[in-house]
Amino acid sequence: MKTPVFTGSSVAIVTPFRDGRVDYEKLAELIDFQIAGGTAAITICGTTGECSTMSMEEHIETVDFCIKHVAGRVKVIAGTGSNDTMAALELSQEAEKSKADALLMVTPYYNKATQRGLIKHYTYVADRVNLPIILYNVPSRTGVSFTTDTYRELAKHPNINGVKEASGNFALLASTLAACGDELYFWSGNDNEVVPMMSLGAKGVISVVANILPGLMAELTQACLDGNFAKGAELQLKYLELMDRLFIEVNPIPVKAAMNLMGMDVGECRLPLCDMDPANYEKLKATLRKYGLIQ
Amino acid sequence: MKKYAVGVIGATGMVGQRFVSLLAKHPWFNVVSLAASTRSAGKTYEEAVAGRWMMADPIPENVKNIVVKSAEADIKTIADEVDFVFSAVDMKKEEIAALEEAYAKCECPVVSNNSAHRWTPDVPMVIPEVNPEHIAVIESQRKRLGTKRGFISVKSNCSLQSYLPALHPLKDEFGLQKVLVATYQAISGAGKNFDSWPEMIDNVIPYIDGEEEKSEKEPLKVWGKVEGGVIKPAASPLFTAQCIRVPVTDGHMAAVFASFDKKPALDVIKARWASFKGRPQELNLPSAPKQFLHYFEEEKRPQTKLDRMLENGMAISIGRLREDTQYDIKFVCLSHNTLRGAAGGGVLMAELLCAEGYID
Repeated sequence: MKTPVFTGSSVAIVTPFRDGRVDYEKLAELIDFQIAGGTAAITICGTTGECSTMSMEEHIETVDFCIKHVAGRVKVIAGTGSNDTMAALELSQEAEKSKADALLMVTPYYNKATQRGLIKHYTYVADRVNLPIILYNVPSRTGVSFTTDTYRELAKHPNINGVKEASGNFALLASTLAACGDELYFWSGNDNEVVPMMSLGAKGVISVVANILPGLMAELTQACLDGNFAKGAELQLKYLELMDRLFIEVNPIPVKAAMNLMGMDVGECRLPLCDMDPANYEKLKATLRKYGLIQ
Repeated sequence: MKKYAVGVIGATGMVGQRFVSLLAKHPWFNVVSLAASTRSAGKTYEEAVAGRWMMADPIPENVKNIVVKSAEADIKTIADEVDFVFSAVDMKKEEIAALEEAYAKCECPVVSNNSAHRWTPDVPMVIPEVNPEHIAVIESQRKRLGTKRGFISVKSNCSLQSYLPALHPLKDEFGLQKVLVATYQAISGAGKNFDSWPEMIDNVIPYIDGEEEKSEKEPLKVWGKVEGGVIKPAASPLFTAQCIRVPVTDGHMAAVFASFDKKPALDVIKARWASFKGRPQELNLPSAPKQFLHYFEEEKRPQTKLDRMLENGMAISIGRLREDTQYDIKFVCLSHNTLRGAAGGGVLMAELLCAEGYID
């Protein structure tokens, strides 16, 4: 049996940019805001952190900065996935040198991979690091999904700890949980599916909404961990519109816009992500107003 | 480094659970024996803590099925199967003192979280960064006990583990004269959480039994000297303390006022804090924080919830250093009471004792 990397809510933290560079001062502020809000782990340089448009050097430096600033107060999970196995290995080994607590590795995207390829890709990296790895299944972005058999195979590796599951495929989740038990943990990769996933046994969420409401996601996941699914469901439904609205355009465009509207001043997205369509921006503002997050 | 077989006596209480939890992934220490009261003896550890496991991480897999022994009845058996024990038993003070001595006399070193032996003159009371040299007194303690391996080593009270480290790098250089401290202490210090102590919600209780005396006196032993086979407590500085229970789960904060023979400049104090390194940092012990004393320039730091886990709860956070109108300086500091202040401090002390050859 393995121990889950974390239980509760981990924020998939945005990377603040200013004048084309990572704004470290702002990132430190965001991290402290998360810890004070009850976030159990910071996930740095994931998709929400725009890792796709960060240079290798920037990526490694940002992970290192985050770990140093967190300084053991909560866990740090470094996004180190790539569709190039060697690049994923290099990022993972650098994150290990920086003393990350765990790695989050998205499935190879665009070039995709066969199920055998997925097993080889993850095993290659897992054999060469001494850190727990969280797999990231998000077929809507990557065009590839794990099967239960592949999960079962990967769960045998001592360094493969679990999955950030964002496929919305509950049959896959249920059959994998039934097959793998305490050898492969699950976290929801979608804010709007936390309670149903946790009711099946997921340990929490890697969350976008937590960027603006860390306390909400901590409370929601804690309720589920305590078995209080009625309370969890109440929060899930109460905030569902906000959770959905933050995906009105491709993430992290709306969440960064929301943070800027709320005065958090996290800067722009890097191209090809751009500013919001004006009609969507108005919808986002209306939702934020409805939840009392802006005037 | 060899792997040490360790036991935890008093393993089912909150501090005992912290020890078990901290040791789950320890590079040197491997938990092989767990003991508690006769009520828990004979059950597996998982059964014994069922319904009262208070740690955030689940019960470590490697200890779940260990059958709990009786801390009092199975001393010999436990002493034979471990290299040393951590003690976190919850009994009357005299009973703890006798029990810990019984383990030591069975040639089993005892690293204790309890107060029972804090004032035994040849028992070192150690904050590893502050007074590691006190462990030399173990030699004379062994002579008194008639042991070759066995001894008792204790940690100081949790309340002083923020302000004493902060004052330590200033004490000799500037001649620390007197200290006034008010502590704001978490409910886990009483082994409680908000479920088991609902009276603490939206409340402050201005009394913690025995805490003020410990907060005023224990620093003098920690700053004492090994002389003639015992620790001779320091004669100064003068301490006065008020200890107050506040509604937070973990983390003791302290508001400190201090005067010196030679008043140090504020930037010099900050420089001393920044450069301070203790023996654990020199030895690179597994549980040692890289930077023991962290100073925050932000006005609203340190905060309990934000900063108590700094460096896995083993670092001290300091902030708000200013000149005072009556004392020379004032500042605020924070430490995690069940990590640095209890189990974590105990594990670090055990690492020091192993690295310095007192536990083989």
